[in-house]
Amino acid sequence: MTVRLVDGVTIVLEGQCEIDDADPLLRHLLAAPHATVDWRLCQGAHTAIIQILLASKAVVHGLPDSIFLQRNVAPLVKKAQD
Amino acid sequence: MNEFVEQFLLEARELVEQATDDLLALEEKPGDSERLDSAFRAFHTLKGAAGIVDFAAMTRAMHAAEDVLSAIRTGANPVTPRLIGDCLTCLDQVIQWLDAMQVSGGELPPDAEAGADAILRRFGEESRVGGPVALLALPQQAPVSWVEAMLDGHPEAAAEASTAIRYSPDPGCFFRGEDPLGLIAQLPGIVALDLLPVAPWPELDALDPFACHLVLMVLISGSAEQAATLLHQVLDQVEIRPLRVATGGVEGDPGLSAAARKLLEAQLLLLAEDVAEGAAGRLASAGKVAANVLRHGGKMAEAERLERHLSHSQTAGDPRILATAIEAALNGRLLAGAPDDVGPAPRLPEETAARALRVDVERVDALVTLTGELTIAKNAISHMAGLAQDGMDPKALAALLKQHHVQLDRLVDELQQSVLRIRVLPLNHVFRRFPRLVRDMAASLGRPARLVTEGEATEADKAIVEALFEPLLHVLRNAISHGIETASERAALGKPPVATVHLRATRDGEHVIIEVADDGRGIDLERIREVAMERGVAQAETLAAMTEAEVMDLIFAPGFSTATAVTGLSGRGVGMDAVRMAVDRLGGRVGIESRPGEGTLVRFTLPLTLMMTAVMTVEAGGQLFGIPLDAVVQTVSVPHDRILPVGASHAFVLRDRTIPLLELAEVLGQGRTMTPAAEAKVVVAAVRGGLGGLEVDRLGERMNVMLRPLDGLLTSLWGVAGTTLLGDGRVLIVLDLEEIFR
Amino acid sequence: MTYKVLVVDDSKLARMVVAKALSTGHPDWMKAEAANAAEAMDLASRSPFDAALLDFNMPGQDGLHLAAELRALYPRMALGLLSANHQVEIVSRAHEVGATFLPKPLAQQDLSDFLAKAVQLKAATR
Repeated sequence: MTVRLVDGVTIVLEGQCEIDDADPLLRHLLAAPHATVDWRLCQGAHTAIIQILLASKAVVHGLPDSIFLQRNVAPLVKKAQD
Repeated sequence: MNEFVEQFLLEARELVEQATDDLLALEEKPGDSERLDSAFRAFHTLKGAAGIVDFAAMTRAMHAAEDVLSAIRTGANPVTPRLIGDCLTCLDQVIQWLDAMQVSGGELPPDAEAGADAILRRFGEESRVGGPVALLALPQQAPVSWVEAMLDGHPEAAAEASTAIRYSPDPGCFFRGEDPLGLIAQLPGIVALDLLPVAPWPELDALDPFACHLVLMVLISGSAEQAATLLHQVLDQVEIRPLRVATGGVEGDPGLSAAARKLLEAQLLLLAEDVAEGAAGRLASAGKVAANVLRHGGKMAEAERLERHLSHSQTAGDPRILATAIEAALNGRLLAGAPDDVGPAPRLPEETAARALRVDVERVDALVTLTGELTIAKNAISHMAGLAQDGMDPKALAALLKQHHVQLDRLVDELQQSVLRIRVLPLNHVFRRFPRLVRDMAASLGRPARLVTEGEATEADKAIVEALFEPLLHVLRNAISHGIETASERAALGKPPVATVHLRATRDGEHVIIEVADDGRGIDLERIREVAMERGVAQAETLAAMTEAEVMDLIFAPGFSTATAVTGLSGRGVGMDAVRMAVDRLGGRVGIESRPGEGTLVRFTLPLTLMMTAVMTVEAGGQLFGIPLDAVVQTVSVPHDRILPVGASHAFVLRDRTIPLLELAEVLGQGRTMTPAAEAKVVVAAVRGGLGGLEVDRLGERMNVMLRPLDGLLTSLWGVAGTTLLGDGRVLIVLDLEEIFR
Repeated sequence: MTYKVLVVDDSKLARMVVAKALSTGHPDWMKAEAANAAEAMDLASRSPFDAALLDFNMPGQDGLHLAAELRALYPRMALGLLSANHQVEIVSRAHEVGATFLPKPLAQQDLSDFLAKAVQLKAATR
């Protein structure tokens, strides 16, 4: 499983997050609006996942485990937070 | 050669033929959109085929032609002879490549890239910004503010960026299994990425996670081409903008030194001088200096090109041609090829004989049936052998054998005919090459002419069809260069400015008739008489006694034609005598008719197949000869006292006609071996419109033989039409009566 | 489980390429070939196919029109439109008839992706 709500306050993204992880992610964020997203173990994310992160302005923790995401996507997600 | 390459070679040739046909038709009727589409499709398919066998150079070349035709389809460019010519030249190159691959067993021609480069230059490739990008719908008028915004927003990245891409995925793309971000991640050399919502984000609980609301914008250091390739499946949602325009200069071009530039500029000033006096000298001098400057700067190829432009400038008497070339050199642009640049030579008519035959299924089926019947006949023989062994009455056995022989005879006949039918090809096979060649010849000889072909579907034996190419080409060339008047002459005569040459084929019984007819000036009999006397072909007295038809026929006489003009097209000087010889060798005849001021007609009469010839065998001087039965009128015994000497030879009277008589043994240089009988055995034959008699020692039987035309050393053998192998292994020489009675 | 794909292209060479890609990579797929739209419709009307690979550039009826006709006959059939020209209009028109655009020469990967989708489609619509 690639999207998990852990201890009620952290949503962990792990491994390759695909389109079917989008809905769970969204529901977790709706259920726990102050949760942070820990994506340090995330190796890849479908557009839908990143879209949700941007739209929700979720607070993201750490850097993802993918060069592409680190270099190109993380800055955008971080920017959206503000 | 693997099956793909084999199929490639086969299909490519057909496509080239189709494209040639379409291009020529399009030239006649520029508005014919069907032809335009068909030509476009042909080049397109050729491009695809080249891709399949990994022939990159050919792909490039076909792509260039495709673009040119595409521009015509959209109405951006008109159909011009130059353009048609360039496309045809492109096809010439393809044929050269295909021929090379055929010979090399499927290896790509090593110098193909250079050929493709030449083609691209011809099409003016350097003004474009590189391949597939041109096909993308680069929005012409739309503001490129997003590009500017990207560049402004990422200044550090802007320096390295070569291409900007904007990807607006369909909202429903996730359902197609697409992942836009994943796709973008694969682009080469990403230096900047922006993800923007198409509309302000809604509240999170109103967000549809399965719809794509993003626009992705990327700057990459990779090329637009690379981006297009990667994004091929979603091109309709993507905008790709190259950020660097390709300079015309060659990469790593060292450029010209300041001194060199000054010198070139000085030549331009020289050429700009408007004084008529000394213009030629200035032109020559400017060209020489400019070429030397380039050579000194290490630009050998450029220098050569410039010199060609110089000579062109000199012939045209226009210094601007050279000036343009010098300017191009100054600007570091590749000089476009000069008009007489060595492109691929016009396809020499050396087409290797087709190795493959397309055969009608029915013809093969007929063979299958025959095989069955032959098997039955064969079995019958073994049955008869059994009967013989069992001591069957010889007379009865002989009767049975005769019966089966008759049957076998019929079957072998049928078999022969069927096999020959398979070898039969429509004349289109050789006719189709001519429209293009006529176009080229007319252009190079300055005589506008068009070729109209008829009866291309008429069939003849493969060997004959293929052997007809050279003779027909020569006759056509003659028609265009000598037969047709200049455009102004024709206008003065009230003839249409473009001459028409008809190439017609019809079937006439067991013969195929091919006619080459032009509407030119016809044959000048006086001129023929003059030339004949000049060349020693005929004396004045003989000429005076000749009919007009006979005088015209002198054109085919050996020694009549000059055969000094070697043309690039046929590669060697050939005269009409060679044409006649070639046709004779095929077992046919060629003749010429003409009406002064109206035109000339050359008629080829050819056998339908390398047929069975019915011959009558005769013995003379101890040797066996065959006389074509269709020439034999009758055989007759003539008492020796009825043979009268006439001049140096003999004649006899038959039914009130005086018939010249030749002794075959003597004519062929054999002495008589048999004591002359009281009566001479004479074969009366129809020869050259009259009758002739051949005295022989013995008359033999009739038989059908497969006449093999003479080849190799035997070709020059006088009096012989061909040979055939007899059942007992002897060679039967079949006589050419026309030659014997000449 | 075997599947059937209809391969339509006026170039025999191009059909050979697809045939090879199928036989090497997808032994579970049977193929039928047609050289033009008329032949294709004839074959398709006789028995159903799970997918079709259509060349865009054909004389007479082009692949796009053929795709539309096939789509009308078999609303759920996976359609692939092949072309060497990555022209935008072709790509978007392909999408309009619900066909996937596949560039020529056909790459093994693209074929695999396409066939995989066809299998999924067949499973989903059963």
